[in-house]
Amino acid sequence: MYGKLENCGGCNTCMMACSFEKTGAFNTKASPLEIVFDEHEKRYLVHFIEEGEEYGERSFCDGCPGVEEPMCVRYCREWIEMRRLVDTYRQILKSRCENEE
Amino acid sequence: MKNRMSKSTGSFNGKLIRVDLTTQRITIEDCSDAMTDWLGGSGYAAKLLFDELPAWVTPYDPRNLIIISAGALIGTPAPGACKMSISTIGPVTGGWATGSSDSHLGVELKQAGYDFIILEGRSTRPVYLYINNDVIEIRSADVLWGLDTWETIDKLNELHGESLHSLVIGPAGENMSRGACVLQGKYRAFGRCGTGAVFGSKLLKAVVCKGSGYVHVNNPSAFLHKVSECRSRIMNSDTFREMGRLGTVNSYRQRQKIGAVAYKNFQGYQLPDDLFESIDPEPIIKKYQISRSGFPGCPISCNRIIHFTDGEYSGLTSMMSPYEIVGGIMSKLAIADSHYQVKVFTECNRMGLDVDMVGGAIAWAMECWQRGILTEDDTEGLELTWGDKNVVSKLIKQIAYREGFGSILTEGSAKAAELIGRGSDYYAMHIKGQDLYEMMRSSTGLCLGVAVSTRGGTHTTGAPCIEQSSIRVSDDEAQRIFGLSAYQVQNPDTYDGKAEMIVYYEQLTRAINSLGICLFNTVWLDMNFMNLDDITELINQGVGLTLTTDELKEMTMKLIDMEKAINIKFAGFDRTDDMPTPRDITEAVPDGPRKGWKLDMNQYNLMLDRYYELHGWDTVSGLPTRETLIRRGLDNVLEFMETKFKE
Ligand code: SF4
Ligand code: SF4
Ligand code: SF4
Repeated sequence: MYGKLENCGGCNTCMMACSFEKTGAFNTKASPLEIVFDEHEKRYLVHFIEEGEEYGERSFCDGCPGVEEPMCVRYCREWIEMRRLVDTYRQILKSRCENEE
Repeated sequence: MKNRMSKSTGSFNGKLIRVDLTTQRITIEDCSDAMTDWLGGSGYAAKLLFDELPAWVTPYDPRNLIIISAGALIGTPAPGACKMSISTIGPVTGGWATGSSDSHLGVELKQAGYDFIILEGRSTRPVYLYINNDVIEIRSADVLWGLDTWETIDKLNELHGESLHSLVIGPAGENMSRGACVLQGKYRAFGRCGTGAVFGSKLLKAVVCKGSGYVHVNNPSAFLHKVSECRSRIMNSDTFREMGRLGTVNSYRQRQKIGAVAYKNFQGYQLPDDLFESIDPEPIIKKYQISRSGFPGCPISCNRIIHFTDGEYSGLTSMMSPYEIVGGIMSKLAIADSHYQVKVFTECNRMGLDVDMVGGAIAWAMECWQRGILTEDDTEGLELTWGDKNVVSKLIKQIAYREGFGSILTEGSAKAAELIGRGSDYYAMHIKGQDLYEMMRSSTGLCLGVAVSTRGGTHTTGAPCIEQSSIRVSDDEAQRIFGLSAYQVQNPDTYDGKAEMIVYYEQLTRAINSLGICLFNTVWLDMNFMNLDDITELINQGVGLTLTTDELKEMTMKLIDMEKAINIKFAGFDRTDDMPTPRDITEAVPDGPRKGWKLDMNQYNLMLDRYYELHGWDTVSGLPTRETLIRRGLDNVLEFMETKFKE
């Protein structure tokens, strides 16, 4: 899922934090979250890697079930908007689960 | 998921890449002692430059080293941990040269498993260094040579088929302009000191790096707890909100109010109202900002991307100019066109030129023109009229390519004045050869901090900004951080306590420059941001040291001794080089609320004495004493000095 964050500056801190959540160390290339620059719109986009999209060191974002405030939210300067994106992503995962059931 | 984590005690890798461009030999060396003894980063770079280079080495000699460092906290989310540094023997002062820049490349280097890149020797053909984890290659830069920085980055990405983080030089570096800098990406520069010219002298066009390993911290939960605490203090402040809204130019109004905006090469300290309004950066940001631009770990993200949709520069996408452009080029050259600040920043970046040097050299030339010292005979027909942006743009190109009158300006105002003579040196506003945008008569602490800076006039190595800030510091805060009163810290006219404050900020800047942290995330900007206690805690939890704050302070004092030793060895600086400029000594503040205030040189000298005493330096020569060098374990410096001064 790609999401827009009005004031994202591509600092990548969310990627570091997320990689720590998943691996216990920091590695922007091992984060299930990716910040990409949209050349057309000249702005950064947040990409939650979904199951099946994994590549390199990156696994998929499972929405951090059971974690009230995931690391990507905690370490983002735009955390309110980031939480909104994570909530949306979690909704998508949930509805997929429900559909599969 | 594959897991390539290795056992480590912390975020310092203890490994450096050494590249000999003459022999094309690449070696990996262990540097585990760099952290424990020198705090890594620029601290260790100073040690290497002093230890490895004989005193006869000059900046462009192949023996000179370029030391690129990614400090120990880079690669972690510590606030502002994204500042890489490049250190060398620099062509601007002839001595210690170091510049830092926001950087994504630093994270890549740390993830590739290294803390430093050392480049020595000189290539016979243009080259760039390619690092992809353990693949390290010197590659031909024939197709890159001659390109400006933006073209170089685009070409590198095209060659590699992906967007890579890179450090590049432009035409200014290739032509060894003393004002040449190295750019990180298209917009961020390792400013001042002429590091780009040293790249050029080695025919080194760029460094690209990719790393996909893991950065560990020693005690993850304590480290992240500290990081979160510091982040929340930073993010719950008005300073954070203002920096987020406008970036560094947020200080423009405050500076005008207190009389600290340079006008026509410091002939004025406050802008005429109409010029002030026509430079104002705020409307540009409001109208043309398309996104923010931040760097790893930094909650502040003070940069923003601008896209002009109308006007003379319609279609230009670039980064919003920082305050240096507003105060160092726009106001100093009296250019009444706010849009031009983005344009001129872009031109300097594309040429790979330091904006402070550009502003300093051109302001000197324009004042000399105003006074009839320079004429069309000198400038090859160019009229150096204040405010003429077309002339400024033309000169920027000439400086970068060493053409026309630019071939004189490219030396910086100090050396240009030497070449021209005719009394023009009085108007060359520099310290140790480094062009100033800092206003030395605007406050006493700033004056001292800029004058004593080991890399030449600069506000980021110990000079405070808090004297001029709109933030009010309480007595409690001043006492807790500096051991001073609020009056001593913030009164711009008092000389009392300023030496102590400068030394605190020197300690802070050496610690953060070594670790890779941005100054704006510290008590330099706001008393609630990170102080030396916080930094000590981050080092201990991140790297696994067990320092007290006092021990950290003492280590930084050793680093400053080493910088001083480099200056003694390669540039011969002493107390006479720690003085304000002749104009700042001679003239009173010309206008604004502090009109008529004049530096009291008796008081200045007492303040300088006190500053030397705090360092353990001799007050007559300004150099470290024998006892100090022994106490700090700098036996090799002592040996060097005893031999040098016996001769
Ligand atoms: S929700 Fe968890 S896994 Fe997904 S991006 Fe955030 S921190 Fe990473
Ligand atoms: S931390 Fe927030 S602002 Fe920074 S890149 Fe991630 S989403 Fe963007
Ligand atoms: S505050 Fe600005 S200069 Fe400092 S690290 Fe953040 S973005 Fe870079």
